[in-house]
Amino acid sequence: MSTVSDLSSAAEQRPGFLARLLSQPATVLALSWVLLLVVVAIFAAWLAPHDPNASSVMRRLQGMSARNWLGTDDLGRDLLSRAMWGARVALLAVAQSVGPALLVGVPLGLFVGYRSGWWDRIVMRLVEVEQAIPMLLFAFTFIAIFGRGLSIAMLAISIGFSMSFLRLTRAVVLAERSKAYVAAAEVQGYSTFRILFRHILPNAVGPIAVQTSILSGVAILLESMLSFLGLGVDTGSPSWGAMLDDARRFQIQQPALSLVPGVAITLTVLAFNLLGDGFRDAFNSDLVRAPRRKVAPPVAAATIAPVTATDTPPVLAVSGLTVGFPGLAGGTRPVVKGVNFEIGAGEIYGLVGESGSGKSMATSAILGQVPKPGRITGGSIRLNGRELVGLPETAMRSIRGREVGVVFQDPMMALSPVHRIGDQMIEGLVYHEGLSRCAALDRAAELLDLVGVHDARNRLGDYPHQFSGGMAQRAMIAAALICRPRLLIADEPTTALDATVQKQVLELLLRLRDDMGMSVLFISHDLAVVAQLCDRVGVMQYGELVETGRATDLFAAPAHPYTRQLIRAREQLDSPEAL
Amino acid sequence: MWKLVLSRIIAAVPVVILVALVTFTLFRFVPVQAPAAILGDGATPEAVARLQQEMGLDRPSIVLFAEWVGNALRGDFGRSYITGLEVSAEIAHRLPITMTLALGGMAIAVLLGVPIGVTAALKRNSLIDRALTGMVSVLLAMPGFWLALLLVLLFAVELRWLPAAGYNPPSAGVLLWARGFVLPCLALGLGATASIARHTRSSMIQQIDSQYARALTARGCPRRRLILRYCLKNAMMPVLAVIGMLTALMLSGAFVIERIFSVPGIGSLILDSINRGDVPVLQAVVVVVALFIITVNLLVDIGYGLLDPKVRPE
Repeated sequence: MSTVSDLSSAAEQRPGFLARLLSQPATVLALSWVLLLVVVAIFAAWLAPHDPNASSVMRRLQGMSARNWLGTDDLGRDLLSRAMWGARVALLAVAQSVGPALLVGVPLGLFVGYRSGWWDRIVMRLVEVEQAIPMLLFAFTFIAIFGRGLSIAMLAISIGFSMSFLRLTRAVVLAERSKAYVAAAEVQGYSTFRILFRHILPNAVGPIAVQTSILSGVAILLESMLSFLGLGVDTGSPSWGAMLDDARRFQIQQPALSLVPGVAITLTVLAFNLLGDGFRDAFNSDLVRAPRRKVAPPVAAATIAPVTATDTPPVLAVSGLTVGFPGLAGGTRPVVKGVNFEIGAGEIYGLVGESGSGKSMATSAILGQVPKPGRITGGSIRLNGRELVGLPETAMRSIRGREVGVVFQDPMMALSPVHRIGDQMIEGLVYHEGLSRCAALDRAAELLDLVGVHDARNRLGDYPHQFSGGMAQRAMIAAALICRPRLLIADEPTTALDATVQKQVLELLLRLRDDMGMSVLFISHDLAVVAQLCDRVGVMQYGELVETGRATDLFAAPAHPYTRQLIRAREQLDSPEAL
Repeated sequence: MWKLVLSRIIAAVPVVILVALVTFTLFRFVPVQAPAAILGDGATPEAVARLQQEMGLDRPSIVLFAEWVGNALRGDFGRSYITGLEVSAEIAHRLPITMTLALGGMAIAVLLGVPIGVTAALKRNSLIDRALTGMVSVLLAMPGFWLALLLVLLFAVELRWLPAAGYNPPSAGVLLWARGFVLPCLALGLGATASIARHTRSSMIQQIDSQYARALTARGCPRRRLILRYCLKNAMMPVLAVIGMLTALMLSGAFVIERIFSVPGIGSLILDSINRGDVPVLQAVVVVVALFIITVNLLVDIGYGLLDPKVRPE
């Protein structure tokens, strides 16, 4: 297999964290703003055009001018210079609140999460207390007790922030603790300290970075609030919040007064928030980006001649179906390539292939549900003689549920957890046949009974969590058949179920086919199931249908190398020697 | 249902007790401060000690705490050091004003935030979505009190539609009373609007992309019905939790907004008390505000139970 080399080459191609971060324009802008602020804050004494406290009665409340670029305040002080010195106060507030919070909250969260038990319970109660007191009120309390001053207020806020870091780190530890690598490290005899800081902490770095950035914005907002109220910096000191307080008193005379500090705060908080978003995206794409599969050279299809089961016209006829997604370098990347197959009346047709082979995408195409930005780029799909490709959404709507029903892989995912099973079953029926809710529920009960759910009438009022997986899948089959469609698409309907339940569901499908006479398109990666259930089978690989034929023939004498490979893999899995 | 409510209430009790204990302990750090606040800065140490004895503040902390909790349970938070008024009466008078402010802000936030979030989710990645998301990001970063200043400039100074500041009791006429609340509630609510819109958008997108939405569509459920009946209900569950979290933020904001609009709520009471070192008032306010927030979170929990059949006992 070439999977291993694929993976490593993909890893080499993946850009590093910093490169990913810097590939986001908004993040770069935000980062530049923050860096600019840092420079301004450090060198305010040199950069500011005027002394921030030099007042001049002659020049009070002036607009923009060549001397005072952003105007002056009520004492004639230069707004630009005050805003620059204000950056120093704002960033100092961030350092004083977020810094200690990181140093206290993160180790405490690691410890509490790892130890759990009483330590955890006591600390978590304290966290709840902290959450019940608004951070600003907590800062008020500190100021009332220890006296005025930005450092004291920021100390109170850093206590609040450390609780936030504590909860975050604790959650990561709780998630990681049960994993095998931690147990392995424990067996190795590593110290708790080493396990916590060397093994578990790296997993928390991403969320902590995001949180640090967001709380920095919060710190700036809180500092400005406190200074605005006269509880932060000393009176007269240049702080954005204090500047807004001046603006409050004189904005009727000079309406532009609040703009300088207001825009400064907003831009800075926005920058920290965007930076947080950027961190999140950059860390997440670590997990999301899967290695791209190398496309193998196509092998000529073994059986080209379409096999029609009966003389009657097919229920579903797919020919030359191609589905494509926009490629990374322009153009389209096909995921389904020129697929041909037909399903006759009452026939069960199996589509097999490994995940990513395009078999599920083919079904999405039949339903007109190809996820954007993908689209059907060619071919034809005829259902009961009607062409579906190019059909407008409104027309597709009258087909879904009425002419074709679908059963998906995981029944629990396919049900809304907060709505009753019965209501979810009848949505299509009410739409297609205009039945009353009552009459529709009667039909639903009938079908639920047919698929073998006991006490069907009463169970319609249940919620999904009251159903077992097998029962839920029966309900989904009943829901798919409620308008008596001629075609049922079953997309891996047994994959998420236990082995015994799997068998029951397959038997149910066979029985329903016989009773109701519908055709079934059965999608699966499980050869054994397909062999057991299907009349005819198509094998898909890399978006192409490489072989199709009667199930018995195909399994007895596979013509295509990939089919042989699949069958061999299955046999190896079944034989005990392979283990 | 009652079982759920009861268990939530019981779980909240230790938190309330701890809040009281923490608050009390914090204020015990400076036992001298109370008499000093009354006597002024020039008081001699002897005078302070005498007053302390008179007020019974020289007794052990544990006794003082027990006494304070006992009284508080009966709704008695003592008297203000400065005005001599009963703290509970003062709070009872001011809390409804702050609560109206916060409630009004929250109403605006939900009524604007949810539709904005849903619209953005439905028109994902379109120009409308980008415009809304951008507006939301800016609104999130804007300090509420700057927004308040801008609103005053526009609606009170320029357009003269609404009063710039001041509070009228409902007895002065409901319309007059309500007019005074419009700008403060707006200033308070727009930030929360942004927060709710942001969470609604991401939650809604998750639901629209969900497997059950696909399954319902595949069965013929019309899109409008899918969105309004199925996705919206599922999407609102995490948003409900956000609303609970926003309450604490909302109150913080209200403290500042009250000052801008001269609204005589809890915020102005706190600021006055800080300036005067009025410990009984501060103690009571912290506990009452915490109680309020705990109650809101309790209601959110119960609301969650009503929405989620897994939590709701049959």
